[in-house]
Amino acid sequence: MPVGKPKIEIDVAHSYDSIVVLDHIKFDVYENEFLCILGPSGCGKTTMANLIAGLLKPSVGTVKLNGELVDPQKQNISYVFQARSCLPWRTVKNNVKIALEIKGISGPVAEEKIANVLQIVGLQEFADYYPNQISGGMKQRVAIARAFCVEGDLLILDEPFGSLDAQTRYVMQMEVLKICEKMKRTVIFITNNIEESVFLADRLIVLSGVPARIIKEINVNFSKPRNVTHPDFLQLRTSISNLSEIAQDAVGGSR
Amino acid sequence: MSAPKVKIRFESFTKCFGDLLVLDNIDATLYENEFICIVGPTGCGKTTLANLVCGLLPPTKGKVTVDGEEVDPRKHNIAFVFQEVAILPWRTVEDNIKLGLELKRFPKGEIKTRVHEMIDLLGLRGFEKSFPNQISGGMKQRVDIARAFCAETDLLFMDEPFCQNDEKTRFYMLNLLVQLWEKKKRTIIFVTHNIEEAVYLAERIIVFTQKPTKIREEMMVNLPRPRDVSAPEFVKIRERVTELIKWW
Repeated sequence: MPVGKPKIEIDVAHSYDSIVVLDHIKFDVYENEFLCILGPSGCGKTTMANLIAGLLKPSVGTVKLNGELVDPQKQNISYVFQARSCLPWRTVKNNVKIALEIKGISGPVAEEKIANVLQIVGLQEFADYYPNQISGGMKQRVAIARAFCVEGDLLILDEPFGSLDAQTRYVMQMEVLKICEKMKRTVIFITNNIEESVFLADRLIVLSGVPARIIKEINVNFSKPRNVTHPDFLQLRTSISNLSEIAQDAVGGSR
Repeated sequence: MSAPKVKIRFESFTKCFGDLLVLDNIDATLYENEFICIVGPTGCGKTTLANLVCGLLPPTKGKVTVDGEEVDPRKHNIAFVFQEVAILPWRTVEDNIKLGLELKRFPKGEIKTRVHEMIDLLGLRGFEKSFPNQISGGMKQRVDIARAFCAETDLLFMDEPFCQNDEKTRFYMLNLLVQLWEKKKRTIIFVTHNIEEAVYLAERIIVFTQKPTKIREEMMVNLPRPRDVSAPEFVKIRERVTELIKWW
């Protein structure tokens, strides 16, 4: 368990009309921690991301960042969405720049930040390309570069690699680890992929199906980068998989 | 033991789109009832391969034969299962399953027997008369697989059918598929990016290179089923395949 003062304190419940999506969810995130939230599809993970980012007000409870109520207009929160979010009329470079423009950073400072982050994600040669000229994995890297180029208080990634194939996904996971090593950030990474969560997380929060509650919290102490075929890795993966019932959707009858 | 019967053969199979060479002289032999997995890097031309195999696109050079004859979708039975479930919303579960049999003009009595068997094998009993919008996503997937298995297919081509499923559901579907294959025996080409999945399923793995695509290596997987993903021999094959397709 990490020590020190929590950077983010989450203590919420959320309903849409009469449907309870998040049961009582309470956890903290610490400075420079890589926290994964793992849950089955449709368990309210994106709702949770929106609550943490301050884009959605919880029905009950609060989200605090650095001891204050979360407020995306005041604090620097970067958010990489599930859906690709490149603007098609802007080049790679200008897609990254938008984050700085919003924060009023321009000129040589901005140029340098952009050059630096593009180099880290390996897109420096594609700076002047448009989104339709690059691959899906590269577009995701643009979104990640944009999220990292502002010194944020918090970085939220909501299933950023869900639409990528297994190998590209693995490459992107390595990228994220590399970037995090170079630019320390507090990260909340949301996924439904057990292997991915065990590969990335310092700490893991496992959610149940809807209404979501925390089933388990796991500290993952293997050194990074991790070997996905190491017996300990496989064992942890299986034990997490055994925590959940197989999706009713798959076995059961009517929806 | 008699020599296995050759079912499908790729001979100098080549496809270009303009200047772009996609498949480069693929030579491969598939035996009857063999479970083959193809793994390869992104963009290695697997969709092109699917279109060529079923005769939807002509190869630039070479051919595919089924039982020694050049492939012809009117004569040969080639079934597909894709990532997106392909079932007709206006047909019930049983009417979806029998679609392929109707197209191939199977006798009514035989259609009934076969559909009945499939419904039992895939745990769809009680939902025969349901329409797709009345059943869950997982059941739709099973209807799709039942349809593909139902006819006496020469080749069943599966293109990443389970890549959207979460881990637990994916293994449930993989086990179901293996059981079905063991009972009904079909020649299967299963394309996947997931190396663990390939080692879990295949009798033989064919590893493709980057475009222009050639066969990099073939590997037999002689492990007992159900396979244990953490067994040392399993891990060894998985790591070997990973090494072969690594571009990072």
